[in-house]
Amino acid sequence: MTLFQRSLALWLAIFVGWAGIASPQEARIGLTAVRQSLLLKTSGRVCQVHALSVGQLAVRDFDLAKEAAQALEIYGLDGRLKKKIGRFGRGPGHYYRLRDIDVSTQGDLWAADVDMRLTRFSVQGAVRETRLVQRPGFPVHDLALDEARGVYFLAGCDGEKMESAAGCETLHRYDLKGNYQRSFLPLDLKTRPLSTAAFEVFSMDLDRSGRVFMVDGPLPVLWRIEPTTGAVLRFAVKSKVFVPPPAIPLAQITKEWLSKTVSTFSRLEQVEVVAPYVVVSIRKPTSEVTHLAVFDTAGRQLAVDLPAPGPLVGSTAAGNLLFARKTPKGFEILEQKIVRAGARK
Amino acid sequence: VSTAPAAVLPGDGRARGGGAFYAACIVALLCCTAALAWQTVRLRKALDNDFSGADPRALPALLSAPLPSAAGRTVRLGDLLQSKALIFVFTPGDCAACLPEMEDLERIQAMRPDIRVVGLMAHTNADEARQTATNFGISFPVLVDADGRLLAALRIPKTPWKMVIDTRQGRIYFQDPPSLTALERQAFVDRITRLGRE
Repeated sequence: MTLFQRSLALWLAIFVGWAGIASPQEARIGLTAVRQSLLLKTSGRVCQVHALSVGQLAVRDFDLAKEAAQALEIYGLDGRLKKKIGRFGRGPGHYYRLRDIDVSTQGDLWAADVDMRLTRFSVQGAVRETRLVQRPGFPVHDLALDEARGVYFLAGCDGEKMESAAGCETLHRYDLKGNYQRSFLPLDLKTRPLSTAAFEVFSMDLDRSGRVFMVDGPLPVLWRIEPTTGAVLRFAVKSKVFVPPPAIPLAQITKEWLSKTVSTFSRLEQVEVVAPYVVVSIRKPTSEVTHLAVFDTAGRQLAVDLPAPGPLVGSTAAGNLLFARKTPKGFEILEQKIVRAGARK
Repeated sequence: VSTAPAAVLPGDGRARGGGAFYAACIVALLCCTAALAWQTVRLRKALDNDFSGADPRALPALLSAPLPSAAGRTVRLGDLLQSKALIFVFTPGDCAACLPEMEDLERIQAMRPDIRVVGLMAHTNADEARQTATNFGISFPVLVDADGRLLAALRIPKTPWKMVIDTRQGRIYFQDPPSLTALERQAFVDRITRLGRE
């Protein structure tokens, strides 16, 4: 074999090796527009959107700085506000810190309140039921309904463990009548460097087989919880744009300190399962610029820091992602699909 | 004309330099004092904003208003109380964090039978109050301030809120915001167990 042939063989081997080993999907994952609509909402925020079966959109507007203005709103197909559901408050039928909403198969809206309360509203706005989350009790951050299996999950931060360096993450399962079934703890003690209790924001979603995918704002980790066995798997969220908040004792956090530092860190904000992908959004609390980390349901990270058109606010039954972008006329709701551009067959 | 140099007293220059040094020190001290005073005023203001405390002027209304109880009766708080009372003001949503405080109140009730502990649960109804009392094992009586009107009248800035009151004179002995740490909780228990024995 001549020197030329040896060189050629070496180059060929290197090329084949690179093509096989390098993650081909990472560069191929992208977003493509499906449709877009305009909500004629010129004030407040759009934190979460749920498509209702009648073609309307349920919108959660939540702002800690303007808590009395938070709302659960229904918008029609024409983008106009049809109805506001419930109101700010701490009593039955109110919401104090409206962290999450979910929609049942019958079209009822479930509102999860940090104030340890779950309320079920009809789309017409009637309070069907209000439940206290007290046995065990904890501030609720997220709710995931799994009506096919007759259960729902609540995630949040256990108030008694807020100062613990081991973290306060809490995930409980209840039957649909509200009876507590079991907890999935401890999630992961290795992940947490120090207490970041002030910044804890939990988000979760379920896949078709009922597995829970969950993130906690200050930690670059995606958890997958198997409800049947209780097993908890941990996948690192690799990102260059993620800057975790500083670990600081709760007692030292003041409004002044927060206002100075809040623009310096980002957090994992939302997790959405759109089979076969699990999408985690990364955003600074003070910015609309959002990036996505895309995983498959086995926990392999397929895309890093994929730019998104706006904050991730939900997903549709068809497996598309919903983003919200503020414009002078209102909020554009952008429905986009994850595609593998030029994926090899 | 004498050309002899003027007499220079020994240490004169040093004395003039020393004076400037002392003046600079005094100015620096004054600046520090002013900055400290300003910080103190700011801190006090911030604390006042957060914990301005309950307004004792609304205590007579609290004591005389007929309120539904978690046990299903309607009672006046004043009828339940002895001369000293510990009013624990809270909402159903407070109870995850205030569970340790609840245990403290049960201890206080056992240690100081002369101080009646009563819960005032706001922004709820009698059913939820009963459920909350059961869920958290509350043994002291709980009254319901359904729409939070009394809470607003008392100007209680946040819940859970604790106040030890003199029911006859309608004055507040002392009051505490939520206890966040074990040390704060212990300080409250110590303070209340010493009340009237000092």
